[in-house]
Amino acid sequence: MNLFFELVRFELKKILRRKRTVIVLALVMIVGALSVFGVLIGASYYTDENGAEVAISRYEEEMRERRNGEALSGRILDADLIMEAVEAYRNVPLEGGYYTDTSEYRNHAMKYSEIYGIVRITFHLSGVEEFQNLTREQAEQFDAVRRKNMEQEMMNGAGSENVRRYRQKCLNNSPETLTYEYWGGYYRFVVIMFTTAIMAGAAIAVMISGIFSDEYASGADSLILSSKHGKGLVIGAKLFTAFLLSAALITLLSVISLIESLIVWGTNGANGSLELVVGVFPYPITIGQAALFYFICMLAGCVMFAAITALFSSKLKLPFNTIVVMIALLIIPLFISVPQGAPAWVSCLINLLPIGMFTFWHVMLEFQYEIFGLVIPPYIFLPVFALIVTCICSYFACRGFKRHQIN
Amino acid sequence: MEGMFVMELIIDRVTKNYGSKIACDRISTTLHNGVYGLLGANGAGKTTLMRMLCGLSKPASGNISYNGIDVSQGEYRDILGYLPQNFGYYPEFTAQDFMMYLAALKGIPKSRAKAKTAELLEMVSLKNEARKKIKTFSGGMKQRLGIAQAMLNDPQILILDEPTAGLDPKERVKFRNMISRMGTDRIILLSTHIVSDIEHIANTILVMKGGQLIHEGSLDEIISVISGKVWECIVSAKTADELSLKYPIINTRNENGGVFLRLVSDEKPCENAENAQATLEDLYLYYFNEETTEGYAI
Repeated sequence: MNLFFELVRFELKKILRRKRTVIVLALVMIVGALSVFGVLIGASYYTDENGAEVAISRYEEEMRERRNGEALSGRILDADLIMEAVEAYRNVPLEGGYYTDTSEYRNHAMKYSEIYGIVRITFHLSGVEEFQNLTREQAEQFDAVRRKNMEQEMMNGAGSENVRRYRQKCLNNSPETLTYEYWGGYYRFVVIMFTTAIMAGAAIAVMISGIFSDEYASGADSLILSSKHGKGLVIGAKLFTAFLLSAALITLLSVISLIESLIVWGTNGANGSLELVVGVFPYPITIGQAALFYFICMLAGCVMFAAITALFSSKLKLPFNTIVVMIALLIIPLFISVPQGAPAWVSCLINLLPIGMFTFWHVMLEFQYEIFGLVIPPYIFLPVFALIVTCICSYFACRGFKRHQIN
Repeated sequence: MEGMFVMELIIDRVTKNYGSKIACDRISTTLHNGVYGLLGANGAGKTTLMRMLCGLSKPASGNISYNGIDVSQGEYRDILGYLPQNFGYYPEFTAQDFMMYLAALKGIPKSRAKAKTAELLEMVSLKNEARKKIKTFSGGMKQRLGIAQAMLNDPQILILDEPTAGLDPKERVKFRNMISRMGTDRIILLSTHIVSDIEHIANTILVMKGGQLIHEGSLDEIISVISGKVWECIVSAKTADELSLKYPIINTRNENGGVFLRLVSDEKPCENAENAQATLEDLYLYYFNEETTEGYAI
């Protein structure tokens, strides 16, 4: 075992002392650490009561939003809260320009913007005007309409009987009433981590691309492959190093982003219901748990990405070729959009690519995977799938290096 | 040999081809304890044979085994030391790091590896450079480091492809003496273009041409092939030019108003030619005169 870790130490040394590794890691760490603050740079403008344009810094804006959100946190989203929001929005003039640029919006309605968002989606409102005209009777129907919508949406496109049963179970487990929670810290984390995870993927491609092919290119392969552990232990050490580096990188970036996000936008919302998050399936988990599952998916995605990189590295003679293939695998799916009405399996399939595991909204997508009658939500299936792909790629990478012929 | 552990590296009808080009053609021989010198022009198949002996390249047909152990097995690699012709190193590693890494690859425990590294670096005169990065090393220093790594596991089989390339004369002599000493209880196979190195240290010489093993024997046995075919003469410049076109010339210099020639020929090349004692370099030129002489050094 000591020998294995001694080999891992040398593999780490080889990778971390390469110029391209140092440059790409420095870039990713700097951009990753600073991206949270990117949102806080700049200013917003609105018109005050006297018609003068007022500038407010983005930081001030975000802090105001946080204060507003935290003030409402813990309140049940019932008719009282909805009507409070409606009353606030009734102060907003709708004629001329964007209503969000008015001081009335900022002084009265802005505080309820998230409530407006949830109600608007629930009642399929076309805009603020309809919201302003919402009656108390309608507001009292909020929970009933919400559950009816959920039932319709959840059962829509549900494939097999097993999937229907699973979704019905999710529906039954969802709370009768919704409690509002401000989740700004977690929201920023999941938004920022999408680009950060892509950057981490690119860094992994650069770092791991040479794990085998650098040995071919430099001629060190003949020394390694003619040594006692050259066709066994060292391959395991190389793969372990690749996974360790990838896992360490995404963990470090996630921890930095999470800490920064929670410091700036607060820790509130971890216990909030996933139903508060627009665009995701209401799985029976909290926002905090969803963030954790998202991290696990990113972690597994990065390890899988490292395993695929190692596989190409064992097959292709130059690290550059591996980098090109892996960056293409990372970037090209970003430009693929699933057409409306396409079968569920198309989305399920695309989600299995590394980019799917890097996207919070994909990890919490409404399409479940069904294996031998067992319905598995994507946030559980994706890491398991990544683990299987990692094992398969590791086996073939191992075989590729072992069978490498020096001619 | 009585009481000595018998080593037997059997190469049995080994063939290797790259497409239509046959690099090694049904090579068969058995190597025992001692130093073997592999001689051949570029493209003769020496490096290919050595790679197959190290399990780095799979023969198209035939077998290689050491005391019943196939070359593809880890057990075989455990007793193998190999210096490739152009070995890869890690520029950012120090000599010490490099040796410790190779020691780990060879399964040597850390404490023993440290002691062995210090001993070998001293042996190849790199003790003072142990903490320096390999990227700062000259070609000769890298070559010495390569020699040191090949001996880390005290191998029973030592395969050295062009080990003396880049070494200065003093280092070459030191290396030759070291190999001669080591050859008593292990199999050492070395290839080089520097014929004098083989002449000095090899107990047995293997001559390869066109992928085939054309001769195998001691220096005297090998040289006997051209015994009586080496000639020396002093001729005019014009005759020297004519003879150069007809025969492999081993040596030429201006002498006593004429040109002194040493050449290899089946028959007497000119009237005043006299028979000379044959050497290995005469044999090399005799066999490889028509082949490329790139990198050839005497």
